[in-house]
Amino acid sequence: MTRLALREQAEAGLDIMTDGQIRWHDPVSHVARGLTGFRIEGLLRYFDTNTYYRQPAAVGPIGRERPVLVEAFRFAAGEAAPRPVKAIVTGPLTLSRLSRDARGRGRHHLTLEVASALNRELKDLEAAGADLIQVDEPAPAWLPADADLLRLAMRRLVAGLTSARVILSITFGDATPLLAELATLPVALVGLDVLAALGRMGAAGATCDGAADLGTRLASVIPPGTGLLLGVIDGRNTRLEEPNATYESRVRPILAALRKGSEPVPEVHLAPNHGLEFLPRDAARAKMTALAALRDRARQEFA
Amino acid sequence: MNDTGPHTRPDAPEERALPPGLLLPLSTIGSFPKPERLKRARAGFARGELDAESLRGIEREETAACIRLQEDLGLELLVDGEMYRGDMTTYFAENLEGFRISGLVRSYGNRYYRKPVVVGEVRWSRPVTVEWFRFARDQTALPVKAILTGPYTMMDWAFDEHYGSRESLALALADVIRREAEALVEAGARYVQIDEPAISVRPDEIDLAIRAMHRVTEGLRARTITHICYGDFAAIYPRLLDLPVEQFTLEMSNSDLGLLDLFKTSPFTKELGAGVLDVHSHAIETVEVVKNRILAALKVVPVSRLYINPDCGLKTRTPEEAEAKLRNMVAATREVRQTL
Repeated sequence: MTRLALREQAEAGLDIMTDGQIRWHDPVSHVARGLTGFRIEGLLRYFDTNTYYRQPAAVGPIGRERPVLVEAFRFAAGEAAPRPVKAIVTGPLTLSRLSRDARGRGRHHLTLEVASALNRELKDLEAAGADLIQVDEPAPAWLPADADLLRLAMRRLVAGLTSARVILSITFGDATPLLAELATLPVALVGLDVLAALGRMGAAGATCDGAADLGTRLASVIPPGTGLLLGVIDGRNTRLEEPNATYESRVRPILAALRKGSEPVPEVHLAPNHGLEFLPRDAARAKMTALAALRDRARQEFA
Repeated sequence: MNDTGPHTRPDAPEERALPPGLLLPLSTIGSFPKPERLKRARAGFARGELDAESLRGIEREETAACIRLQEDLGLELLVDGEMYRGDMTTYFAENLEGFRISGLVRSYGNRYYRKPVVVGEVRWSRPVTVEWFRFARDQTALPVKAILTGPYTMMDWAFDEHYGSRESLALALADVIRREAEALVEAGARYVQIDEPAISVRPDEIDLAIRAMHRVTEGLRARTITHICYGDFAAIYPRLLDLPVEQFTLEMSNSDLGLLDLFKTSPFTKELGAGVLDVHSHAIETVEVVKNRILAALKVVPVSRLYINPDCGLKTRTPEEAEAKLRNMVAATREVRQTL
């Protein structure tokens, strides 16, 4: 199935692939299970999705005795070569927020312990050849008060990495209220749900002007050298975007504002606003093809 | 897709209620495990190897068996067991106008289901569950609770390709579900449960969920119940109590009865159907464990307002597990009743 997922991405024309997270039962317990100090408990709903995750309970000191995701990364990277594969890791804030703190030592402590344990994982992924590591943190968009903790956790998470570049991907909501904080984090790229950001603007968000405003804001906040992963295709709904209209109303205005407003022009990756696991396969394939079409148009105009 | 129900005699509705003064009435949430032969028949039907009428026949037999099982176990407010339903939203979507059904989507691990896609205006053109309600009622002298999926959950668990607004879709669905609820009441349903499991995950939309539920229950001539599970109750409590229903059947055992602590912060003012069986666990709770859960609930909600049921639908358990769990739930409830 991992091979199939890679093939579908290649056929759709994506540049950077993932292993499809085929072996993951859910985004939380898959990682927590590989760490020490967690016991995996009952099923809970995963954010506002009709999908479930097994809730980890922190029952002892959190550590990592052996690699959790490295073998799967190696397999996918070998299969996908020469196309690059990015590694995906669930972030420490999300893991800690969605766990039960059975030790009573507090969320802050747990988050930082998880960050230290995952730091070893990131280093092993780097050693296994991962040039790009995406850290998924849906929690901050739901719980913006955690911005300070996010900063501490991210510093600890990426400490000591030498060659790998980290993408911090904030999904499940609009992360633009956190932009100022996100801009200070030690990551190569920040991933945003553009649809959620535009959705918050109401009617204006559906227009070119709304998208241009968002682009201008991004240009003014994102520091030189920090790139953006823009979630421009809806990974939560089967309704298929029409590439030309989506490009004109959503992608082009943002890219134009970034070109005008930032020096140098930041590295931009285009992506769905979320992993495609919530869609049926046919819709997921169609979304990837639409994404590649957006990329082609953007390259033509901006490369 | 026509004639989704079994054939029953169209007699005058007969109203049935729980005996007055019955303490801790025993019920379930709605779904029972599908027996192997029914699973095989459904798969055969999906592959085109079995015709619709043959499948209906098996569904009827298994519905009747499910009613007998509930009577034998000693349950008091029965359900039809949902032998004829697949997923709780997809089933309704298949039988209402405005939907198509998606390819497989994952729910957890290696479990998949087909999800509704709204592709046009949603409309109710004929009863969906009424014939099954009648059929189940005809198998027993006990009251049968009708089970519907609520408008907020139908909205949240569908892909929307038509409305483009969560509010418009939820309210349109509320009008559709209201029609179905009225048809059930017309057919004699005295207890109507409108499931809203999705309500607990988006605290910012609780007002929309309440407005939608108003459209379904306002003035409905039946006892109204809602079922909610697996979410962040703390974020919507006590606002949750403003949902216009008389009873809440809630998942409690999967979360170690944490809800009861929440109800200590602000009193639970409605009837509570306390979930005393963890339906996500293979382990069969002992009578003692269930008894303690009931006693814990009694400390927070008065006995006059307490009902006893599992956390959630039983369809994910094996028939043997479901039966053993329910047997202990009934035994524990009877033991507690003797102490009251």
